[in-house]
Amino acid sequence: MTSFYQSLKINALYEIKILLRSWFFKIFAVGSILGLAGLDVLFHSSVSPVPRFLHPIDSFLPYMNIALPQYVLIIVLVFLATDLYKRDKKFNTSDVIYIRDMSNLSFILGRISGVLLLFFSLNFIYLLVGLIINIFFSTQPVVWQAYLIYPFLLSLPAIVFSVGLTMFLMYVIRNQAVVIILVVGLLIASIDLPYLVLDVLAVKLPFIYSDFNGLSNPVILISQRMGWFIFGVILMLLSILMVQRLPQSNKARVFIFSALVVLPILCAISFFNYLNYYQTGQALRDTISNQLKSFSENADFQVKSYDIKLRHAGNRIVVNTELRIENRTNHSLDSLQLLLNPGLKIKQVKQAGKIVPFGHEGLILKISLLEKLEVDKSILLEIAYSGHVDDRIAYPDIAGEERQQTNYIWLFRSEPRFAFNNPDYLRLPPSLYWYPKIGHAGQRDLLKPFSRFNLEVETRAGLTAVSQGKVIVLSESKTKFKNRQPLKEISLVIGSYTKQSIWADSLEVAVYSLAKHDYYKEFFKEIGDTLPELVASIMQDFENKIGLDYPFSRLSLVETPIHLYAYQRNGRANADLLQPGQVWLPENLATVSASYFKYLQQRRKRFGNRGNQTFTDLEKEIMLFRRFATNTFTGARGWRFGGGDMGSFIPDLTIYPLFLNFVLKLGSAENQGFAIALESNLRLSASPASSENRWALGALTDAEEANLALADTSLDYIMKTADRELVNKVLAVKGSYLLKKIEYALGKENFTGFMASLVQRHRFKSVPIDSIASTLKQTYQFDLEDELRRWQHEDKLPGFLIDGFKIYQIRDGERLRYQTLFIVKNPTETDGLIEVSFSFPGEGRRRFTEGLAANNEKWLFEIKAGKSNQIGIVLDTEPRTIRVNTLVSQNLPATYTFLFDDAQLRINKKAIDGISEIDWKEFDAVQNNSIVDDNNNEFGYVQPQYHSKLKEWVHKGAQKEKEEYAGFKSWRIPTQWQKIKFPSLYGQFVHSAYYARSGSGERKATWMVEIPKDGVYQVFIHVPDRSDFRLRRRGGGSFGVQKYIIYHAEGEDEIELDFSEAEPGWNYLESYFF
Amino acid sequence: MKIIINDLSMVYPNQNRALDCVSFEISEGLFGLLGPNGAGKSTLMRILVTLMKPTSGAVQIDGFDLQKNRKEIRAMLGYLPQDFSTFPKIKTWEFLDYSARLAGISNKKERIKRIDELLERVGLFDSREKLANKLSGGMKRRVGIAQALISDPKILIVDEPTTGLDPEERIRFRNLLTDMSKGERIIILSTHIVGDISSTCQDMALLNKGKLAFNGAPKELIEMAKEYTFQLEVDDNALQKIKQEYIVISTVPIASGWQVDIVAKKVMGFKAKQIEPNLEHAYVCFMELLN
Repeated sequence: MTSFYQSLKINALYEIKILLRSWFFKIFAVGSILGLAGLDVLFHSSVSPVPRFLHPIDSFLPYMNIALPQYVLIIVLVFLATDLYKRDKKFNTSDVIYIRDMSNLSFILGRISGVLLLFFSLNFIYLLVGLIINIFFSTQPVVWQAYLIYPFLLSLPAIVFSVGLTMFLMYVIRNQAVVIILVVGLLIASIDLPYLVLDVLAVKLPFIYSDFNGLSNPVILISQRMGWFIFGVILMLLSILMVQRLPQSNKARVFIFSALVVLPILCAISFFNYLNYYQTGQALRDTISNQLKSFSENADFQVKSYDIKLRHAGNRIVVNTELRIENRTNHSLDSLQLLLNPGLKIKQVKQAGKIVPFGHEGLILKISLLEKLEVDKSILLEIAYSGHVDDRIAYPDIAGEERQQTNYIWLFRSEPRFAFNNPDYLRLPPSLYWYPKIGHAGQRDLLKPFSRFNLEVETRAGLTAVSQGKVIVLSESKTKFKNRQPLKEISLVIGSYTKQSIWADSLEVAVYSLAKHDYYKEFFKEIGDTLPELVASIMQDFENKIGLDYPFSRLSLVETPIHLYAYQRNGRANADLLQPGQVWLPENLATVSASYFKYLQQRRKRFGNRGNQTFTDLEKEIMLFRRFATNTFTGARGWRFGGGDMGSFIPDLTIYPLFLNFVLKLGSAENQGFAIALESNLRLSASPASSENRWALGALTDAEEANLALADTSLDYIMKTADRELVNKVLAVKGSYLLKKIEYALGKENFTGFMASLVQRHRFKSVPIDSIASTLKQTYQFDLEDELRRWQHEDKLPGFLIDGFKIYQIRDGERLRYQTLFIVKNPTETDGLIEVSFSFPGEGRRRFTEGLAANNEKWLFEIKAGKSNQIGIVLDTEPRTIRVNTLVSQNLPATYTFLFDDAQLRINKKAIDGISEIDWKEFDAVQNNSIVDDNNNEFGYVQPQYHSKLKEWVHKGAQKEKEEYAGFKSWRIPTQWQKIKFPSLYGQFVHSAYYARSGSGERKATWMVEIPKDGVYQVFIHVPDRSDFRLRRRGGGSFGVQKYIIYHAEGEDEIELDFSEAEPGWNYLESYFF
Repeated sequence: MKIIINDLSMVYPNQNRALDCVSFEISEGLFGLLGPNGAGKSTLMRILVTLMKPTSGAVQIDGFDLQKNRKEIRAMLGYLPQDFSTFPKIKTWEFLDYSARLAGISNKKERIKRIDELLERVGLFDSREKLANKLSGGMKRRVGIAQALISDPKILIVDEPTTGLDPEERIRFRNLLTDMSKGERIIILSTHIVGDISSTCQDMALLNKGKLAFNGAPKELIEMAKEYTFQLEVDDNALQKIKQEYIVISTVPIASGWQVDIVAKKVMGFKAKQIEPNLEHAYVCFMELLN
């Protein structure tokens, strides 16, 4: 007689034996093991040639080894599981087994267990392969926990559910092919559903395991996995009930029925727990969004100082905060509103030692004062609270799909987290309101008020706290942070950090990282003593570039868990990653391309040895470090890995906001134009000079996109209605424009001096806009308020006609100089600015070297409405090209580049320097012509209609790109008409055209020309300059022959024009009577 | 030990009444279940081996109720279904090993000994390493009987075991069953081949259209046919007439024409002699003449 366990084991072993003999399984198993071993060596061994991007986190090895084969594994599993049922049907051998003494439960469960066990053990072989490579062939430490988590949490539920579902469906549908298609289809189709609740295969579930704090959200993640695991078991039990064998054991049946009562409840609880976490999070954010809508950005009181005592108690913080509050308004206050994280529960609030009533709902903490706070008086409030900082409230405006997306690095997923409050790790950005605040996280940095902060932190011994201010170690577990200057906000990070620091001039640069994250050390063995000087020079370069000094006495680079995420906020990319005096780096620099030192070294070996230069090891290290520092922190253009496909979170760690955003308080909520302009302009000056992207030739630049939006709407309107991305683009363009206008009015030198003093003199202080405006008015007669009004509300743009570029040499005393000339007309009713710059021979290869351009001088000129001007600039060296940027204008392209011929000497010519008004009629001499441009209503085109559904579907992808002004790609000419812009295309301000792939004539364009009176007319076609399109003679497409049909009084005529041969400009076709 | 079948009926969902109030007893030894195709033999077998639940009636096996004590009954059973084959990719001995383990022989040594013994007995020892589903029909059937016998079952039920086998294999199989029937074991042999039963069974039941037509020793059945079995010698013309008027069991050509065995209550107009019937004569007589 066999026991339950025995028969279960027997059936399982028998099943395993049969499966092991299946060629399908054998091929899959051996193939996947070998494939993984290869990938492990390729990605994770010390000889790995791939960038760190694919293996920056130590747990990626076991993660990859489980996640990567999982998809195929499930398909094979589903196939073999259906086979199991089919086998029973096909061979009535099962009869002789059915009559054996065993329960249905032990029989079916045994066989299913066999399948599960075999596939599950494959996971362990994958892990074993990984482990061997991890231990013996890789420098990466073994993350043992990850080796346990991935098979059990990622793979097991997927396997159990897939088998359960397959078996169940086989008993219901009884058709192998249908079931396979159904199961695999279901599993794949469900990945993207809300909150990833149906992501059984864990394709997108966040499973990255951080060395800081493990999984991003373990309890929630386990809920989802548990849900599917239990669901799988339920389906298996149902299958057992459906098996065509008379039941044997009553006990087993009682067990199954009881399990079928209990398990669905557990399953529902698991899923509820999972969904509830996200849904209550969304509800919380909705509440907060509503609260913030009615929350005034201009608090009518000020927090002069904070004295925060915080105890890090496991998953909680226990805080006692003393706030010195001052009434700066002209009326007395009887209550105060502050903002505090809803996860924190307030114990008591005291005013001068006496308990006062309060209410804490959502984010808002309302305190009713015992005594009124009179004008210019201050009180001391003591607020005691404790709890778990809930990071679901971060970025309440980000919802829907964007909110639900997990971040990825290749196939690894991480859930965006904003704060951590764990026993081993704590990370609290000010945007999470971990102390009572008066400003909200969505507020523009420059508008936030200053307070004095003192923070005392108690945590468990062995952990290091990092915050702003001078560090005073009180005991092994207590640290005090004392700030001399006022700050807008403070942050707190606690972890098992090791600190390394250097002094670069008077700046302390400190790195806080996990001790084991020191892979970079092997690349910088020689650099040691040189480092302070190097860092100082990089900092100096950056300060020169943006024209501001670093305001803090230390710069801390703090490593944070890989789950850390920050959305864009107020023009600051990844807002929370920069804190006053701090940059929060991703774990092990995982997503920082410039930290892939080994790969960069290899690239340098391959591509960098062109100049036959030899460098010492130290020089190489210096170059590597400089490249890392400038690309990562100071916005130099650099090689970026992955370009979005490999990773969704490449943080922008450019430190320019540290120089301005936390240094000034400028203006108010109602008057923030100047602050916006400053921020945007700084961002622009810190980012690399934009050059044309060769993949998107003819595509819109950010500035052009902004101009299109501004063509008939005001900035004010755009800010209220447009999406974040467009608002940022528009603000960047308009911000920079406003400052250029001031620069033009003040003159370059005065402007530089004015700006520097504005920031330096008012450092850590509040500057009212009025005082800036009055300085500008009194000293330079510039009306800032008027300009700001127009800047914000003007809904018309100027447009420029530019032509007549000339260059020649002139004699200036003993020197030979270069005279450049061109003509600009502004026929619109709006005044405008243009900016002129030059490039000089030899600059083309500058991107291979480091540092600033030799000559990046720019000239600004104002072109008044309706005026024509000649502009002359005299240069000492011969320029190659002139670039005229029309800034904020209707012009498309917004920038004109003209390639000069060699300059000839003209002996008698005098230098013409500057702008002068001329009478320029040429552009108006078109009265006798009728021109139909693609921007006129008389122009039309026919898009081909696809008759075949399949064809339509195939072309759907191509049509997706059919947005206006998508780039011109000579290797992928669209099948549908698409709009592009190039300088040599016809147009007044907008130089655009439609283009499409040549075909059989089904794609037509029509020009309907209005004929003023009967007569003979000449017909011209405007041909663009092929050099604009960078078409090569060989390959890459050509303009080809265009066929025109002209409908005239006597019928129709067909004329061909070979665009490849035609001269750019107007080409005569024929004359006709119309 | 006894199997008591009491008022057993089985009606399929399509209203086909496969068994209709069948009652009889089966004692130790080789028991033959005879009947034409569709008589309900297989249904009865499947009910007896717990593969199917009857619509009504009861079966007691060694005092255990078939419905209530499936566990105890399954522990006593050995079963060879009509179309036996094994799963692909399993060796002969592995399949037997699986069966042995399911039958509760947990001791490996004991299992191997038992398997070898059985393989020897069914003449498959040399094929033990061969894939079971690659064996010939007869050999597969022998693997089937081996797996049925693996647990030394008290009740062995074999369904149409000789169908499709060549005469040699059939004889070997019959002998095997006879050997097995020694001792305290019930062997139920369901067949529509009369010869299988005549040569082996001490007791038998005859099913027809779901009903029990006869239950007793084969001898009794033969005895009942004694006065109805005749032999005639006729020419071609007479043979045609006889075929039309009587139930012909066999026709053998002889020098003067044909020697014909028939069953009939009375033979008129032909010269016929009464002969000693065999089980086949008795079966036909019973099914066609008396029933």
